[in-house]
Amino acid sequence: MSDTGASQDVFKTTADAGAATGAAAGPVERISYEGRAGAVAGIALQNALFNLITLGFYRFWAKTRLRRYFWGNTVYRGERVEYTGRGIELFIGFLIAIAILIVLVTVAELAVEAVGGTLSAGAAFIQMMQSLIILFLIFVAIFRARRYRLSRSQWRGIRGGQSGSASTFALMAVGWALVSGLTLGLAYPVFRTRLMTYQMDNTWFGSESLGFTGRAGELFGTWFVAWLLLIPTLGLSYVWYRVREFRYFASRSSLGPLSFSSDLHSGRIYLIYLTNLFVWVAVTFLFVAIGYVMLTSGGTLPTAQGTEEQVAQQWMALGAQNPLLIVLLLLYLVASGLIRTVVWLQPMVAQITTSLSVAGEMDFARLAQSWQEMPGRGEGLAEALDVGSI
Amino acid sequence: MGLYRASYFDGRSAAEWEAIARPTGDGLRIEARDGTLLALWPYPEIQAVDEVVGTQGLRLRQKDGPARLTVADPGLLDELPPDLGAARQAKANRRRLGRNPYLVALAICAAMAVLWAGFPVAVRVTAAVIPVSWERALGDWVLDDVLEFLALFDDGEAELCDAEAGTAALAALTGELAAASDSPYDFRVLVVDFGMTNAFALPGGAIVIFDGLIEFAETPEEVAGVLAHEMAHVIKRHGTEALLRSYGLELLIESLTGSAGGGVAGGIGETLLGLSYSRDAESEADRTGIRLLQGAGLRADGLGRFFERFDAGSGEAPAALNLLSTHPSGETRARLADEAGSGGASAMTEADWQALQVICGPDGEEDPEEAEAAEEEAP
Repeated sequence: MSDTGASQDVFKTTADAGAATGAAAGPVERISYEGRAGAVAGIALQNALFNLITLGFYRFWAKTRLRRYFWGNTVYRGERVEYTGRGIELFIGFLIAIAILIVLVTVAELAVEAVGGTLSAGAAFIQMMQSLIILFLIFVAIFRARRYRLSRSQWRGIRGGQSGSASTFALMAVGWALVSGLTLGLAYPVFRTRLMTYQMDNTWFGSESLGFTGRAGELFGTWFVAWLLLIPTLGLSYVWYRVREFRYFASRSSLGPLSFSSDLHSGRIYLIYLTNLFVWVAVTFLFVAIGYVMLTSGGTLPTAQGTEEQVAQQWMALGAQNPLLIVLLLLYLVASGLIRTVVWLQPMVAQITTSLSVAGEMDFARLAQSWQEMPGRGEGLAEALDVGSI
Repeated sequence: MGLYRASYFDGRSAAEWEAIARPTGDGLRIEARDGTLLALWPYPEIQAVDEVVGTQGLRLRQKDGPARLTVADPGLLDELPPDLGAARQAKANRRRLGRNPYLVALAICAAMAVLWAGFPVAVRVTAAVIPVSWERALGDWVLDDVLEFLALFDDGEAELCDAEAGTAALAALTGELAAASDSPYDFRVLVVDFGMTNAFALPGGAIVIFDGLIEFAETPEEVAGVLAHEMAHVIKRHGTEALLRSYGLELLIESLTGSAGGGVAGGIGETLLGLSYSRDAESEADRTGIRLLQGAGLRADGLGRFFERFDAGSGEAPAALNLLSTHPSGETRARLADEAGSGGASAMTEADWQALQVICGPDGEEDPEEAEAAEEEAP
């Protein structure tokens, strides 16, 4: 099959999946999202306030509150989804993950000392091993974070879950990531599809396991086009690929007799990027202008010449002495956080959730509660390694 | 007591029960349409699922249980006993919803106002209570970084100058001033073979003087003045304050951007060098420095004279190392020198002064490469 043939295939799947399967297997129910900018702005502002007061320790609870809101406004068949995670679980998970990472780094440093310092050949090997272990841990973190989130997600009182082994997943992921790297990224759809297959095969809603029949070959045409355009479009073609990939993955997912589809449109995603960029630039410009006026009206300007970095340092030093400027900087950070939540996060959540439709009919009385144990703590590694998302 | 149409999910399956919720004396009764009792939730155990109860109706659960009740009419909340658990919280949330963002925005403004007024005070108070031994540890830690940083400018190592006679002369002068200061600090003065006209003090008592400053000084009194000025920075804990201010700011920024502690330890030397004292701190160091000189019975006009000349040749303003960059104007300093008068003993003997001038080596001249570098840094 030619590349264009493959991408047309993706087109057809996504455009027709909803209608076609709907006609065959019963009613099509679209997922809706009811969150409002005002409410989410209120939560984001409160989060910023508490983060400031607690010097950042509130962020686990902040994330939890945002999730509760996003989940709670996602509606399927008139019933809202629910997030039951708690901030303390994220916090404890984070502490444990930090402890693990400290041990890892310490062991690596001791090992480097033992083989004769940072410049020896042994040290290079140890550092390479350390990078691989960190990569491995990143995938462990991604898998465990997903398990935590699914176990804390409920609909009609029935919770999700994820079985499977994080280390199996991570080993597979590291392997395919290396293959993907060695082929200059060409094997990327295989990496993505293998990961998705493992995750979806192990995803549960209550007593029912999800099904996934995606094949990397069907994504390859799309990826090849995006891959060719990566550099000319400064990476923007990646977004286009991911949107198509999302539609394809959705169309290949099922829950018992229910089948999924998505009509996510990359144009709308680009629009969110663009809006976000525009608002952010405008607000940044405003704050910089106010800050400049405040600084220059003070009368003491850095007079010394030097490199750009030195001058910037002097401006910062000058600013650090001006409490009003500190306040301005912090207000700017609050504003940035607000923009991120209201203009970026929520629109993304809304676009993605409302793009999904579920076709088919199911006897929900036979869909029983999950028998899986809930993990006691969550996502620490993801937070510590900074791969945790909303 | 009303009846509320509701959807009940028993937590065992995803089936929906069309139900009636009925507040009674025992708790919230949840009945199927035909009247069979599905559940009875005691009021203290009822929790609201959502933080914000908006137009989409009310979701309730029994404390930590899997069952859920969805009621379209949030008026049910008003019939639950007002003083009970999370139901009350949901009620409060509903009431607060309308003005919530404004309240919070107001609270943030208030927090900022507290910060504006409180941050400088907090920095000063914290700096004042830090034990001297901690300051010394901090200073030692920073000193290594500073010397490493200087080496970057100097094509190699920042060489410490330790010619015996010069070191002894400087130590004697430092000792006299320290005795006059009556402070708990153990002052250590290092001379670095570096062409720039500068000197700075680190928390805990380490003072670094560049050879370029000794070259620039015309009299030993000027060196003594700068030394006293830097010792005053140590005694008044200005460096500690500057570090605290910088890291306090970093902490606040991190608290809002959510990045956890990354790079706190890195580049501390550059941070310190990038800091400058405020005008007030400089004036305070001048005044205290003059008191030190006078206390030691030395001529105190050198400090003012040095800075006056330093400003007049404003081309000498150090760029990379700007610890002295926000000092009071030259005229203020000239007045300072006049007020201090020319009374008092000379800072050191002629022999000692000559020894100090060659502390970095017998040639007494900086090598040409270094002079060039200095010119580049301070054109």
